Order: sequence, then structure tokens, then C-alpha cells
Amino acid sequence: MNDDVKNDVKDTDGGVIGRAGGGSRRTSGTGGPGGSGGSGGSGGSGANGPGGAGGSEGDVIAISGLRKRFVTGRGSGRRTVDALDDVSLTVADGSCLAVVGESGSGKSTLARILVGLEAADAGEVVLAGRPVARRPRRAERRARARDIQMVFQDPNGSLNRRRTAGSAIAEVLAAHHRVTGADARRRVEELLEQVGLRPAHARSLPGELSGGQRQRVAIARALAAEPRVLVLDEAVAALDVSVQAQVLNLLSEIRRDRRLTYLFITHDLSVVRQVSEEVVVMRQGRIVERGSTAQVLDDPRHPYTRLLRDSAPRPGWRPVRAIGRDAAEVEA
Amino acid sequence: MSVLELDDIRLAVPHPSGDRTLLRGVSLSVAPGEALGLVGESGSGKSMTLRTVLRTEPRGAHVTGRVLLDGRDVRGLGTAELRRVRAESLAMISQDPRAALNPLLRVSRFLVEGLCDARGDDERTATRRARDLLAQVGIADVDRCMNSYPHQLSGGMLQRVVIAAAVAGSPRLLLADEPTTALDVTTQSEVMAILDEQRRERGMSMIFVTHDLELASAVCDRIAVMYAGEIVEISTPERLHAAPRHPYTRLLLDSRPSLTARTPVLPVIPGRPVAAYEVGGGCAFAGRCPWSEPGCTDGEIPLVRDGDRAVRCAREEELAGELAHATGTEATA
Amino acid sequence: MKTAVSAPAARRSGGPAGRRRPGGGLSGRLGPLGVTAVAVAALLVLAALLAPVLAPYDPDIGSIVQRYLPPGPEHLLGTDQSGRDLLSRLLYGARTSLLGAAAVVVIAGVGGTLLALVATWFGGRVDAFVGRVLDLLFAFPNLLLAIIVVAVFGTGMAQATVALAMAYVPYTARVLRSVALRERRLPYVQAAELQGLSGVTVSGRHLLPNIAPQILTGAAINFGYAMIDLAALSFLGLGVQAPTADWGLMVSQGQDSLLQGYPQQSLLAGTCIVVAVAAFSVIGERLGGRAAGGRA
Repeated sequence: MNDDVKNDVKDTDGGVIGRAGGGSRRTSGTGGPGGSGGSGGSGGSGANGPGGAGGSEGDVIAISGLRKRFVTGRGSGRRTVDALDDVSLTVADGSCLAVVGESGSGKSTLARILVGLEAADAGEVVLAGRPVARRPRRAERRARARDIQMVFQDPNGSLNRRRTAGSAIAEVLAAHHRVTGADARRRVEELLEQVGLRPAHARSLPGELSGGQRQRVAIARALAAEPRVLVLDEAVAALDVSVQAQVLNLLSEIRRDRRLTYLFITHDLSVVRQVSEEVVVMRQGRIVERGSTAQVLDDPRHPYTRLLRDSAPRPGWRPVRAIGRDAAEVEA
Repeated sequence: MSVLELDDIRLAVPHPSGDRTLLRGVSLSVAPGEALGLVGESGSGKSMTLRTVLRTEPRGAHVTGRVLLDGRDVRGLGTAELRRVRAESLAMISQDPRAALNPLLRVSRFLVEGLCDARGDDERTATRRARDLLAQVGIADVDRCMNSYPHQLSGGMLQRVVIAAAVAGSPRLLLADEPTTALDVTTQSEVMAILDEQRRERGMSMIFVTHDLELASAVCDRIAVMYAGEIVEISTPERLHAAPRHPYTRLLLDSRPSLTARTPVLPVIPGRPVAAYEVGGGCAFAGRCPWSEPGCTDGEIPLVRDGDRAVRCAREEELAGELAHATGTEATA
Repeated sequence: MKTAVSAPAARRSGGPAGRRRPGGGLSGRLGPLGVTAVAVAALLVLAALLAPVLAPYDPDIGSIVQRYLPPGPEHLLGTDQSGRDLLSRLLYGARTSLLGAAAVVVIAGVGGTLLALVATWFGGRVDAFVGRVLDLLFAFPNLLLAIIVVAVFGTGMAQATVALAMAYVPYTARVLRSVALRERRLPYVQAAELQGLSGVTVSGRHLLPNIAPQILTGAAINFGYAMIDLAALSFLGLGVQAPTADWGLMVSQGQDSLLQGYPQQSLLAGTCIVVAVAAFSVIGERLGGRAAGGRA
């Protein structure tokens, strides 16, 4: 079973499904000459399709050959895990790419490398036309933060519980745009209103806010840097259904109004359908399938994508028992 | 006779600013062999309802109402009797299987000891039975699993071990509290299939607590939707989807994005889920309900039964037709 | 003593009332025993501060003819082997004992916090190195380490205090490191980190305030231990030197009198130590319970 899947991985990696707007070259003002195209020289994937390694001027994110290996345990229990194994993808300016996978797929590691919280072992990240240093200095990190921001999953931990919502946003304003004092207060109120909160919420501590409100503050904080890209790492997974719908609507509204690019990391295919134009499916550190959301969800090619789709509860769905799958689950 | 019957359960916990109500009169019954889904958002009281059955509610909680397990009131039992009832008639599967297993014991010891205690088996019989059980819950490499410590197994494997232990004594009633929430989707499907199969084979009843209406629909005979510490609707999954009778159910169904079709704008329920102690008079959902009228906030609104379904809505009859259609189309029109 | 204190504290923080944002206020959280402990501690500090006003006699001057006087109207608690007023010596002794312990706690707290933050922030090799050094220091018992330092740098109040502070740093650092590490992994710290803010800024603005409860709790508990250890060093003749009044030294000097049938000096000084240690430990435990409850 496991081997089947692996073989298929190679298949889909080679044959790439075309992207509808693949050749579109919107001038975004940032794509430097030759910006990212050079990485294709490594051969292998000559793919310039959805999330292919090449990248064009219209791409805000171009990742090629990204690798990351984690070492866990000590002594005899020492093991290595390939969190990312030759991952390449591009995201067009103003689009939303969903990265789907289960735990251990490497999707969160991808996000963390992209925003600079983790350093890749190999590979190249080109962000808004600029190659990103693997181990950035602080100034570079700060510059990168103006291009890309992240919203985390856990609404409880994503705000400092001893600081007000307003100060969380003001901190980012001060760091990137030197906005302080009354200007900052006004800007904080604007941002709070944009995420559907009241100006008075600036004075609230995280403990006084609901989970949905906290996630809105986290979104406002990310927007404060005025980035071009928002990385959303399971940003709605911990929310109640009714609140999740509100936040999903808010996110798509913001993307439209600000012409933002999203990298939406999720395990939930229904959410993928709702938010993204394109999707990559990851498993054990590799991309197993990519294409437009409609293609991948309606006509999945890879057995793993099919398994994912068939496992998602929906009206008329019955849970299925796949025989012998547990062999892969035993870890030691 | 019902396996379990809850009769007007009310629960409040002490709080510095006065007692806080968490359950506002929950009544339900579970027939032999029936699976009842308890669905709601956080703070709706679904888990707390389960805890009143096990009598593991928070320390100092004031509970009123009756919990009849096979006709006996669990709430009135002494410690020794309670322990016997828990061991013989009830089994619990919680969200975190790691909490259910002693991290220092191998799976074999966990299972064998449990079997010896519960059934008085000798060690050899118990070991054989434990191996059978693991095979039944879909574990291929039984030897390896038996010899593993909990930290060596994945969450899905562990949850299967917990299920094996839970069904071992064929208890009358399984209490499952979000048993697959911590698992990956593919594993969830597998674990749910096994739980469902084991339950049916042994003719056990089940209360299945979850926030996922679709998941509950797939494995339950009836679904009770909870909001702010009370049940707002009970129905079969089919009828719940086809024609929900309570506005909250309707909106809950609609606000979940669909796997098959994109909605330009998701229909949303305004505001946030309210807690039971925040509810004033009248309907708890009135503040967020697009169909609410001034009359909705007056007096207590009863859960009106109609055959095997029940609904708690003051405008139930007027809205029946309207609620049968998804709200999404209106929102975008 | 300790278990008796921590049991109700644990029960309180685990109960439903121990949820986030308790409404009970500080005195409510401390409980009657905690409030008593705070009162006793305050009384001791006050006595130390007002020693020059309260003390009826000069603590260092006595007359041989008045040695071993029993408690009476002249000398409320009697006199010692040199005829010095015991009440005055206890009051002045509070100054050295409390001040010494406070110094130990402050130095160890600052040092431990800095080490913990540095190790947490840089992680990797820095963290491993700090960990190794702490392990090395852990290999020595507290008091032994302090004795070695005193042996190298000489006896005296200042040396003893610094020596003990050094011996306390590993304990403080280790506890705070684990707390800071847990905090460091929370998304809000990472959100600040990815803005390109400096380690000093993020640590000072985000980590420090959130580990402050643990720093305070550790300090209050360490205070009691520091008093005992300082008293022990003085008792061994390595800390405060005669004729300065100090509770530990008084217990030591009372030994001879004890054998001669005059136990009051050792008893009184010992009682003071026990009471002070108990009071600060209770405060520490209660603060600790509060910090844990607030996080849940």
C-alpha cells in the first residue's frame, strides 16, 4: 500500500497539470529582472505550471528544491525525518494557494521556512522577486516581514496574554512603519474595524476576547505590516463552525480589497474549496499532487488525494475502513 | 426501556461572581442499540452532559435532575455501586487517548489488567482475548502493538487500543467525547468505521459528542443539537439535513463550507456562541437568529416533541417551510 | 510543613473557581494562611528596618556582670554570654539575616533569569552550553559550592552572600529556562520574532513579563532556603563575623551557653529563623499556586 503511493508520487511529480492563467504576466512592480527564473537549471522538473519550480514575474512566491530534515532523539533512538523533500511551488500575485496535508506532511514547516522562523537545509525561496537568505540577519528578516506575514492556528497562544490587542498591533506598526503615538492609535482602530472589531477592543486583553475575536486581532496584526503575502497556518482550524465561517468570509474580503496573496495551510478540503484557486497536496514532505482547486477536488489523480477526499465527512458519507493501513502508523 | 434517560439535568458551577449555569435542563433518552449524536459548538454543554452521566462533573457543581441508567438513578448511587456501574455498564472514549493509558505500561499490560479486573479472567485467557480485540479493531501487527509503550504508537493506533478496551466488556452504553478530533482526517475515517462496527456488532448504545454535524450524521441514529446548555433540536440525520426545524441547526448546516461547491459568501451566524450562563429569558439563540421576533425573548421556550423529533423554537410552525431551504442562496441573491 | 501548604493550594487552583481571571483578589487567592504569612513577613521586615528605634540597647555592647540574665523588665528576653541584650541582638540580627537572604535572592534571580532567557532565545548550541555549565554546578551541593567559594575568596558577609547566590543560580536558571522555553514556542512570541524584532526586545517585552510570576515565586521560596543556608554559613564561621548580630551566628554562639543550661539565645534565634523561613515559603507556595492557576 505504502509503496503504491510512493510510486504514484513520482508519477504526478513528473506530469504536471497545466494552470489556467499560467502565462499571465501581470506587472506587479516588484518582479526584478530575471528574479527567480534561474532556479530551473537543476533539471528534473521543468514544470512552469501551477506551483512548478520555475516561476514568472507574476509570482510573489517561488520556491524550488526546498529540503528540511529534522533530527529527533539521541543516541540509539536518533532518527531523521524529512519534513520537506524537494518541494517546489509558485504562487501567483493576488492568488490563493492552499497547501493540504495531514500531520507530518511538512506543510507547517513549509510555512515556517517561508516566513523565516525556520531555515531550510537546501533549496531557494524567492519572495516578491528577491531571493531570501537561508539564515537571514535581523534587518533582512524585518524587510521580509514587510512582504510576508503569518497567522497562526492557536487563537489562545497567538497573542501575549499580558498585553492588549491594541499594543500587539501597535508593535508591528512601530517595527515596520515607524508609526507611533496618536497616528498609531488611529491606525490600530482602523485595522480593528477592518477585521470586524470595535475600536474599544484595542484596550482588551486576550483573555477578555473570544477565540474568533482573538483570531481577528491576529489577522489585524499581520495586516499592520502591510504585507503582500499572508501565510495562514490552519488559521481557522481551532474555531467553532459558525465563527469559522465569519473568519473565512473576512479573509476572502481582505484578500479582494487589499489584493493580497494567500498561502493557506489546512487539512480541511472543504475550506480549500472555499478559499483557494490552486492547491498542492503534501504527504510526508513531498508534493503528491497539484492543480486548480476544482481539478484536484473533483478529479483527484493521486490515490492519496482520493483517500483524503473520501475521508472528509459530508452529507451521505460513511466512514471507511482501509485494511492494513496501520502498519505505516507504528512509529518505533 | 431506554438504556439511558436524562431528565431535566441542570448544572451550575460555583464562580466568584455567583454560580454559573452550564446546563439548563437537558432531557434525552437513548434506546438499546441506538447511537445518539450530541452536537454543538464549544460551551454548548455537550461534554458536560456526558460528565453528568459518569458523575465526573467539576468539583462543587450543583446538579439537579435524574440520570437513569437501565432505570436506576446514577446520581443517587454510593461510591461502591457507582464504581460497579461504571465498570459494567459504561465505557468512555475521550479525545486524548494518551490520557487514558499509563505511559509506563505496555499496551499488553493495559489491556490484560483491564480484562482481568473487569471479567475475572486469568492472565492467559485475558491475553488471548486482548489479542483478539486488537485484531478486531483493525490492528494488523498485534504482537508489535501489544509490546509497545503508548509513546511508540500513533494517535490513531492508541485510540483503537482505547476502543478495544472500551468494548471488551460489551458495556450497555459507550460514551464517546470527540474521539477523533485530535486525529488526521484519514485516520478519523478509519477509527470511526471501527468504532461504528464494534458498537453495532455488540449491540451497544452510544452517545457520541462532537462539533462535527456531518461526522455525527454518518454514525448516529439520532442527533441532538445543543446550544447554550440546552438541546434545541433532536432529529434523525436525514431529516436534520433535509428539513431542520431550528434556525440554529439550519445556519450551522449552511455555515460549514462544502466539499463539492464553493459559496461566494458563506452564510454566517452573526455574533459568537453564547454560554449558558449568559442567557437571559426566552430563546438562547434569539440574539443571533435572523428570524427572531420580539416574542422570542419572553418566557421559557419548551422542547416540543413530535414523534422521534423535537424542537425548541417559538416560531417552529411558521418557519418549518422556510428552514427547509439553505440560507446561502438568499444571502447571495 | 510544605505538603500541608501545597495540598489546599493545588485543590484551589484545580477547582472551577481557579479558572482564568479570578475575581477573588490577592488576599482571596492567598487564603488565611497566606495572609498570616504575609503579615509575619511584613512584621519581620518592619522590625529589621526599625531596629535602631525599637532596640532598647546597643546590640554589640554588653557587660560581663550582666551575663545570662533571665528575661525581666530590664532585658525583656534576657542577655547572652557577654551580657548583651538578646532582644536588641535579635532585632539587629534580622537586618543582616533578611538583607543577606534578599541579596542572595536578587542576585540569583537576575543571574538565573538572564541565563534562562539567553539559553531560550538562542537555543541550539548556546542552550546546550548553558545546560552543560548548569549540570556541572548542579553536581555540587549548594552549601559545598558556597563553602568552596568562601574558601577561595575569604570569609565575611559579602563573600558568603555572593557565594550562595552563585550556588542558587543553576536552580533558578533551570526552572525559568523550562518556563521560558514553553513560552518561547507560543505563536505570539514567534509572531514578534518574525517581525525582525531583536532578541532583547522580544525577551524583554514578551518573555520576561510572562515568566515574571515564576521568577517571583522562585524568589520567595529561595528566600527561605537562602536564610537557612546563610545561617549555616554563619554558624560554620564562614559568613557573618562576630560581633555583628546575626541569627545564624547567634545560634552558633549560643551553643556553649546551651551546655551551661542557658538555651534562650539559640532557641530564640532558631525560632526567628524557623518563623521567617516558614513565612516566606508559604508566600512562595501560594504565589506559585496562583501563577499555575492563572495559566490554566
